Amino acid sequence: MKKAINKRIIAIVFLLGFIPFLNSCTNLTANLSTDPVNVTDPSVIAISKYLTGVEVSLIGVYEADMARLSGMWSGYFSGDDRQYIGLANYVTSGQDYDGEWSGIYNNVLENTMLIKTNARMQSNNVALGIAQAIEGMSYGLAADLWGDVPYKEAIHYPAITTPKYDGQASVYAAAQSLLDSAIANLALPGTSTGDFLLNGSVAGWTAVAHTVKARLYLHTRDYANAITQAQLGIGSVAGNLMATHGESYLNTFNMYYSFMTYDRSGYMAANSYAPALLDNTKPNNRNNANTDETARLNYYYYPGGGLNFIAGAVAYEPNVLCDFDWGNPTNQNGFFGGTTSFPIVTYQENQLILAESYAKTADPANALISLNALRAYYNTGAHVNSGYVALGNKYLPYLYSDFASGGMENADGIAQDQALLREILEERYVTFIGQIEGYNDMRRTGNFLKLPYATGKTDFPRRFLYSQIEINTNPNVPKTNVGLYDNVSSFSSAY
Amino acid sequence: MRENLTGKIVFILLLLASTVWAQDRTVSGRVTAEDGSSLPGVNVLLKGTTNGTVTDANGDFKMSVPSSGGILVFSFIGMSTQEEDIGARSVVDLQMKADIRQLQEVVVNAIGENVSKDKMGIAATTVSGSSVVQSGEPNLINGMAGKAAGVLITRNGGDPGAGSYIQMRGQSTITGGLQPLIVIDGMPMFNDNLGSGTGSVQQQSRLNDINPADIANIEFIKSSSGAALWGSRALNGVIVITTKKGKNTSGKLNASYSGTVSFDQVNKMPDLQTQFGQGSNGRFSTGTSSSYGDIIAQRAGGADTPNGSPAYVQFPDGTKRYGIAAGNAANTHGGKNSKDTYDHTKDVFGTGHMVEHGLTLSGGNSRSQFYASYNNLSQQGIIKNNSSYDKNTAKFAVNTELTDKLHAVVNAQYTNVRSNRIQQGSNTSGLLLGQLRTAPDFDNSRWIGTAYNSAGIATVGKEITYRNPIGANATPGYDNPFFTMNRNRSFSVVNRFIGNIELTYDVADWLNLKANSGLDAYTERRTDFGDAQSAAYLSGSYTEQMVTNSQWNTNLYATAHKKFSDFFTGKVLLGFNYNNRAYNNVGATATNFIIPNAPPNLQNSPNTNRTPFNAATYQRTSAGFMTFDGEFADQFFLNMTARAETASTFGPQAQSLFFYPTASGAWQFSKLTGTNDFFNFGKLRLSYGVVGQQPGAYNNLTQFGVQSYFDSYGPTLAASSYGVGGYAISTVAGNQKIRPERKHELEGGFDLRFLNERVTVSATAYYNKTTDVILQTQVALSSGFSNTISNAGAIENKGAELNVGVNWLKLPNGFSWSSNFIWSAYRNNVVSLAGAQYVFLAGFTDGASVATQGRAYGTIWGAPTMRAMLMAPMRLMPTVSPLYLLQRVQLVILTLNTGQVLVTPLATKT
Repeated sequence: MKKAINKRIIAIVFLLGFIPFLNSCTNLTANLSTDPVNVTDPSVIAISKYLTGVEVSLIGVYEADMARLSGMWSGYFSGDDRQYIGLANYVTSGQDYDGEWSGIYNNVLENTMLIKTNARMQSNNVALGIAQAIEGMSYGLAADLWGDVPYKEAIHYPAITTPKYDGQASVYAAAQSLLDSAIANLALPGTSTGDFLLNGSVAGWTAVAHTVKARLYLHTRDYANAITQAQLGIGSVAGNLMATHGESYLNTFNMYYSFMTYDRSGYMAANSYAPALLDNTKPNNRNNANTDETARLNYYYYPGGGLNFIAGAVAYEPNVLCDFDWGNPTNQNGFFGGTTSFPIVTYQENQLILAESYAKTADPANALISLNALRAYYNTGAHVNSGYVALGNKYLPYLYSDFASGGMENADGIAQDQALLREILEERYVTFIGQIEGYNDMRRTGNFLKLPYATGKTDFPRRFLYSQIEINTNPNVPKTNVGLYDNVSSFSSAY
Repeated sequence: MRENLTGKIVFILLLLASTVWAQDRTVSGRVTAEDGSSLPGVNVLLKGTTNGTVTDANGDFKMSVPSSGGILVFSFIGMSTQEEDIGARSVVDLQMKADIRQLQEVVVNAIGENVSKDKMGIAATTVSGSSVVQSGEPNLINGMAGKAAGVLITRNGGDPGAGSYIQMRGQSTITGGLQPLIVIDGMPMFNDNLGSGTGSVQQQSRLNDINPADIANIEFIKSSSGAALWGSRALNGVIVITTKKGKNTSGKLNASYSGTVSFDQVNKMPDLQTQFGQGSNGRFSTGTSSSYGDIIAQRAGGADTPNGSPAYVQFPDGTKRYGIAAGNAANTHGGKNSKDTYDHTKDVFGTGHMVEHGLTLSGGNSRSQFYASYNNLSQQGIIKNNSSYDKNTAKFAVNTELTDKLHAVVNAQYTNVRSNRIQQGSNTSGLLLGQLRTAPDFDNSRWIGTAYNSAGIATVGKEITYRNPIGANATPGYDNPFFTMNRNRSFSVVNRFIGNIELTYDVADWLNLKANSGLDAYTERRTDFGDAQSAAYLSGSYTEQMVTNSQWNTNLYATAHKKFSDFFTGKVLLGFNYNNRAYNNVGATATNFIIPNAPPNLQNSPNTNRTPFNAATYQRTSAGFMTFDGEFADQFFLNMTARAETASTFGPQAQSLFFYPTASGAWQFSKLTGTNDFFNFGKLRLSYGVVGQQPGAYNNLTQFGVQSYFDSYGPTLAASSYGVGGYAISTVAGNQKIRPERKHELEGGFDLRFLNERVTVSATAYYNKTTDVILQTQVALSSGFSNTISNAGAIENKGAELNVGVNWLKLPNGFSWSSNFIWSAYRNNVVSLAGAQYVFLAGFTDGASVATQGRAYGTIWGAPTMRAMLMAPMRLMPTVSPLYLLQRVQLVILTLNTGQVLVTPLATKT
């Protein structure tokens, strides 16, 4: 009997023992959910690493698919195969912009947010300033291309999963404010390690921030402020924000080159308006007694084509020559060659912002000075690779009288100041070959230069479409007046 | 590559030790049934010997026994086995009694506990180890094929040791694992098939590390209700393997040897055309990729005419091959005269063979028994060289009663597998790609030679392929299959230990405690060597890596059972489960060999071409579980189980404990209706259960990595090459709330037995639906990320299983003939993908296997293909339809009555 009772006690103790066992279940599995190999703790990554990463992404934003699409719609390139035939003919849908939104919001802005957080904690004002400058550029670009975009509620996952959209004007204002903060912070102590675009130059980033401010003021038609900012902007080509490239595919290649030669050979040629405008053998080209564009034409384009596999007749191909793949001399590497640096924000643009702003504020004298200053630089031949200069490179200064009715730059007899403005905008057009800014100009000026549309079309795309993923996941995406031919609000009134 | 293997000849030799006894007197008698009728065919055996006989038509028997007498054992189907001490008698008559218990087949449940099959509320399918061995398959998984309803086993390829895919009751998840949990002697074991894909080598399934001859029984627990004791590891069901144990042989040693030899040949290869030579558009052209050139039969015959260029290749046998002029409109053959064609289906395939030796020793007394085995399997594949699989397994098991109340079982087994594999699949060095695409008039067997260029400079040991027939080009196009077989080496060696200790303590006759703890650990060393001339690894590639995977598992439980009255018997089990898994992979790849023909050496490459890599995951699960079994009036049976579980893979913000409840019931209605000679047994059953699948390790975390910016058309910038090396946060946000997938299943069915248990019928229907399926879903890009991992999808299966067993014949000498007919079908449907159009599973962009809403998992998806008239007499070459630009649609593969195979959009079946 006693033995049986003992057994019962043992059993009861054993069963009661299970209760703490169950409670301790969760403790047994705690502290094992950290990846032992991959970085999941952002604090172990130095600000400089993020800064390099963000700058690489910034190159992608300005140089990859957005630039190609802009270029096809503004006469720099033609679409010649597969999806690019459709895209060049304005056949596009939201899916074409998923990568672009991811590039701006995920690759750039999510990471600048991390830089800003860390930089504030570490009192690194310079890195904070560079991050803010890049944010200002990126939000400005998003507003340029899509109009209303998320700003205030953006980049707050998971706290905000469906950010509200802000009006285009307020996004521009926010971008200006970010750039002001950038300029202020760049003047304070800090380090710029990781910045490869300007080799850590604080003065360089300050100038770039001013030029970007001028760019955005120009877009919002605040010409007075555009002039003020451009005067503080990039003062020479040495200060240009350039994307550098190397000889390694999927690694450092110029992205245009990678696309046209390695990834999608034959998709895109340049049977388009821009090269013909430079070509002195073509009607209505822009060469004149003071101007010889032959070097520029050949640096940017390859007349006759034959470099990549393009079906059908090719008038021009983007010049993808580069010594390591094609065997040409290094000084004949083309603008779209594998190792050629790509412009993001430049002295050339800064001068042309000044020229256009003066022209739009009835100051033709200063407009002409700004334009001629740039032409003087072009006349040195430094704007193209040296191997092309001998083909013909001449940019003599214009006189105001050249724009008078019947003058060198006004054969069709329009008002003198309009002729000057036209030349300034045309110079902007050929200066921005391959850049998104050319497409921004086309839209914000109501196509002042009368760039041709795709065959059979009566209008040109006035905006990029909203990303399909964004449409699928965010109910705040604007639904009215967001068609391909609807102007973004800031560009909708007459230029 | 997939073949059916035929031509299999199996010899099995079996020797059994036995003891011979002296016989010097005769005993006789008559055996009757309870109603007094005589029983013919009853087995009568002298206990402890092989000496026995069978009763005749009158139920009479007569046999010799030792003068000292002994014990006679009477056995007959449907009757309880009885023993009679002969003593001094010379006549032993016996009335046998029908036995119900004998028919109550005992099976094991998901945690390895014995359960009476007739009391289970779920469909149970048991396969004996011997029937797996008898299949003649060299590996375990393929030996289980076709033995259980609702269990689909598909081999991944015909390579020796190639893995196989096990699927029970359809697909229950989308991007997670689809393989059932394997439990061996109460302890989960790995069935990894790591690193398999559409290209590269065939990887092994680790379940095949078990020697089939060591297996006593395999239980397929397909139903969620039965599997739920393993909670979030049991989504795809559980296969419970019980290994053999020693038996009480009264101290004698049993030894057995078995040997098997089998031969394998390719059963069927695709038909290849031999009418048209290399070239295109009806003209011969040497070195081109296509094979719709000139008509071979119309050639002049004889040796080919060299094209006059001094470049040539000289083969090891001294023969030379020169360039041949291409055909033109006037002469479609060009310089090609030879009418010889080659059957490329046989290029590298021959007769494979397998030799297996197995040795077992077992024995014991009433307190302790042991079982030991050694097995050696050596297989040469159907590919003539460098395709082999050698496996050595050793197993030792001992069970002993330490005291009257304390019982211990120890299992330990070691496996060593060494295998040579050949590159296959979607891979320019893949065996069949080069083999089957070769033009019929090109001889692949001359695969290497000394190539002389037009200046007379020699390159020794140059690979020769149909795209590079005189070795003039730098690249081979696709590798010659002989080159792939001889030069591109992939080798793996696996060392594995599986073992467990089980202690049972009988506290009282109503209470027992059990502890089962074990380890499964293996290392696999893989080397992959791509020759410097090979198409896929031009300039050479060598990877060496070590995978280690291990898991500790402990189950503790207490079982209490009591018969309260004739009306009610109850049993309660309370348990605890702890499981810890650790995976590690470390290795390095070297490319761009400095010395092309050097032995494999990671330093034989420039510094910049060496890539080290490592990965690790640790996962831990702990759970408490309980079961309740109730028997009511000996005909209603209720089983309920519950498991409360937590795991390190659950998101920190998800609830920490997940519950997996089940209930199943069985009603032996034959107890109510009564039974007769025709109808012996009837049971209805119904069950409901919930199982789950854990998220992948670290899905809760957002990763940070080297930034790489790529646009959707391909151009890519790597931030590792810029500045200080750029990092960025992943665009995939970790999900702090990630939780296990959950599958609910309802199952019903019946089990019937007829004609003195000779015919059994078991039918089951089920419906299951998995919710919270883990998918990568889109998030608003402007929020900062593009995707997250979330519990978003749903997938369902409905199906039926039928099992009919017939015992045609059972002779007293032990010979029996029975058949088992199984039929099963299921319909799978992807219910929701959270808005995604499709989820890519495997394959290529066009012609991918995908999950897409409203269709079955694994639907083929891609661009429509049409046939276009290219030229006579070649007709209907497939080409991508212009629809390509517009849409992607579901494809169906149609075989026309002309034998043509068409791949067309579903909407336009023609």
